[in-house]
Amino acid sequence: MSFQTNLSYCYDGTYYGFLSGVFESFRAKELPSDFFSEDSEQVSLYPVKWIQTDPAKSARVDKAVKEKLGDYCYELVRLGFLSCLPNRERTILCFLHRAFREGPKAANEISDEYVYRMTKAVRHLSNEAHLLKGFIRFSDIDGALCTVITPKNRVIPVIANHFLERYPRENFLIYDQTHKEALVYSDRTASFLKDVDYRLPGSDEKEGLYRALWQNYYDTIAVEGRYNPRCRMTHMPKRYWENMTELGDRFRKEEQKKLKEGLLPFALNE
Amino acid sequence: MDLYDKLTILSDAAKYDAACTSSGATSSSKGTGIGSSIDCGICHTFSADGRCVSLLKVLMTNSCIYDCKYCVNRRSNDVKRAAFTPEELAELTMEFYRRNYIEGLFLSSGILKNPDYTCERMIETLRILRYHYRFYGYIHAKAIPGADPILIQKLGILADRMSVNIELPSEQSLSLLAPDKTKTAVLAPMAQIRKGIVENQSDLVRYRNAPRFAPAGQSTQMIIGATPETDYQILNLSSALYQKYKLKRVFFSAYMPVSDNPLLPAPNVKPPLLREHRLYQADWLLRYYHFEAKELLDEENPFFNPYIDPKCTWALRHMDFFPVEVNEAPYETLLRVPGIGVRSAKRILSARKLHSLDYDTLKKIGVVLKRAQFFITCKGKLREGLIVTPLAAFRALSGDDPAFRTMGTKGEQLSLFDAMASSNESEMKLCLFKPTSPTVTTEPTTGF
Repeated sequence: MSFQTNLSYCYDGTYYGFLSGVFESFRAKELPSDFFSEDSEQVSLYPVKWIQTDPAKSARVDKAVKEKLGDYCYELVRLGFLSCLPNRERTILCFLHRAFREGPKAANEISDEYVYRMTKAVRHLSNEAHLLKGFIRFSDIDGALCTVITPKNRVIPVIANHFLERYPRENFLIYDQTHKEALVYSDRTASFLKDVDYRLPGSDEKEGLYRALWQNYYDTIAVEGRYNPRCRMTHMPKRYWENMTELGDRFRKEEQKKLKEGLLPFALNE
Repeated sequence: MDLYDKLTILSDAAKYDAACTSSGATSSSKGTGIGSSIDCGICHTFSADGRCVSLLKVLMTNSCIYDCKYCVNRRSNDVKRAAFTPEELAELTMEFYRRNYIEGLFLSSGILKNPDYTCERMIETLRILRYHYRFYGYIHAKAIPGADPILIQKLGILADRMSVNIELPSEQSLSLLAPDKTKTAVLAPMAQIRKGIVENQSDLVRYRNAPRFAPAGQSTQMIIGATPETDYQILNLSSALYQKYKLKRVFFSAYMPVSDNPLLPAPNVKPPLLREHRLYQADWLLRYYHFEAKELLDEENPFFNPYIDPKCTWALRHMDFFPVEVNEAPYETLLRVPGIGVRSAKRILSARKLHSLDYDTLKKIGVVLKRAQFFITCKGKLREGLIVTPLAAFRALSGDDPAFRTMGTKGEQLSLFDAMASSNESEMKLCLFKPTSPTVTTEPTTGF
């Protein structure tokens, strides 16, 4: 593209910050070679343009995407930003340049490299979010439900509604350890926190009882004659096991054993 | 006896029930209670046998007045017995649900005293869940054959899905192995539930707030391999059940040896897991792929081919139907191609609106070509470099069937090719490539 530059855009890492970057790219008619957020430690050899988050500009881009490109593109952009796609900001920006030229049908152009990458990343995100709706395990800590997850994608905005609808009268906390984000719901109000640290406290007797009951149920329900660990792993990849009540402890023990025997070069957690 | 032991005994006794789905219903408490369910269902974990666990699957009690030979809870079996009280079970369900362990409850029961008493205890449990805890999650309840129709009606109002197990695929087998159960006793509640669902649908049109009767429909289960029925009989039975009783699902459960009764397979006989797998594959073809039972099997070929799945078997017998042109074929035709499922077919439909498809684009939109390549053309061309010989096709079609992976050992997979090379080859080809004779098709019967 003729408006390709060697500029890097530096923004605050938020979705609205990114949309301001999109605005700037269209305004200046330039395509940055890279995007990075201010808290990443990336150092660029190329000139850097600082993008100031401007709510008015972001809202204009947001509205334009929704109205001119349709719901499907809007979702693709919004979810694409939450995915773990490497260089996701630039991929989305390239897609938007094309989509604003060609209209909503650009999103169906699967043979286009950017559309292909985004669709794949969004599918990955949606799959992970769907799995986590089931795999999340809450612990009752003094009446509040708490959980820690370690997803690859930023799933909290995607799964939040599901849990808000499911537990409207509970207080709960979902902490995403990978991205240091949390959803807190208490007294019927939900809030989304960023850059937080949280560690699951120890459990009391009642919590311990229900954990034991669940582990026991899990072991009992399997039919010995049909033992099929590969099938289990296909449906429930091992990376989710560490946070699951019925498998977590055992999984960690197994890992420590392997570590001792020198089968693993380093611990996977910590 | 404490809760821990009760749960062990009563979940152990319930685990042979195949169904554990939480699909087909959408509900929300709208902020007033706890729980929701979504149409596609959610799996909460997978047990060591690879089966989805989405519901707390337990029996109300495992003591039973019946003596069905195939059942682990039969009266004559010497096992520990236990029973939940309704309050206890409701509380356990809620505590599990809050922690997101489960999507809801699957409640069945042995027959304690008599069917009515058993059914009343189940109703009490569900009543506590729905009204005391204001629980809006998923509940699957087993209708107890022989219980009063009024009780079945009550159960259906409280549950999302109902099921009655027909247990065995024919009346003879039923009278032989389950002397206390009769065909009528099993089918009566099934007919009642169907009627209840149909009436409820018209009620809901008239009164928006009419109570919903089993909104996720009803299902059933039968045991495979305990009795001598053929796959053809079983498939006909299940397709008749879908038509006559409007079932949502028919589950198959490979018989696990639980008894050394001479009427049953010996305890050291392996459960027919591959056969069960083939039946499920065929079941999917009936429900989502516009196939009919008589297309898959007939009197002369009453069993599924163990090496190749039912769809491929059909394809190999109807090579004149192929190749299919991906850019032109209608949806129903695309679904007939081995390796193209509902998702791939829909993606092809939407992608080809923009421009014609070639093999690379097919790959990009996520169509797996390993099997499909033998049966399709893109813009009139076969895939480049593809050699279509029966043996190559056979390998590609059978080699990576998950059925063989689930069977576990490499030895078995090797024996597949040994079998091909040996004298069986001609026999198998005969079985595969023999054209289906256009004989007069018999109406599906219920087998009863």
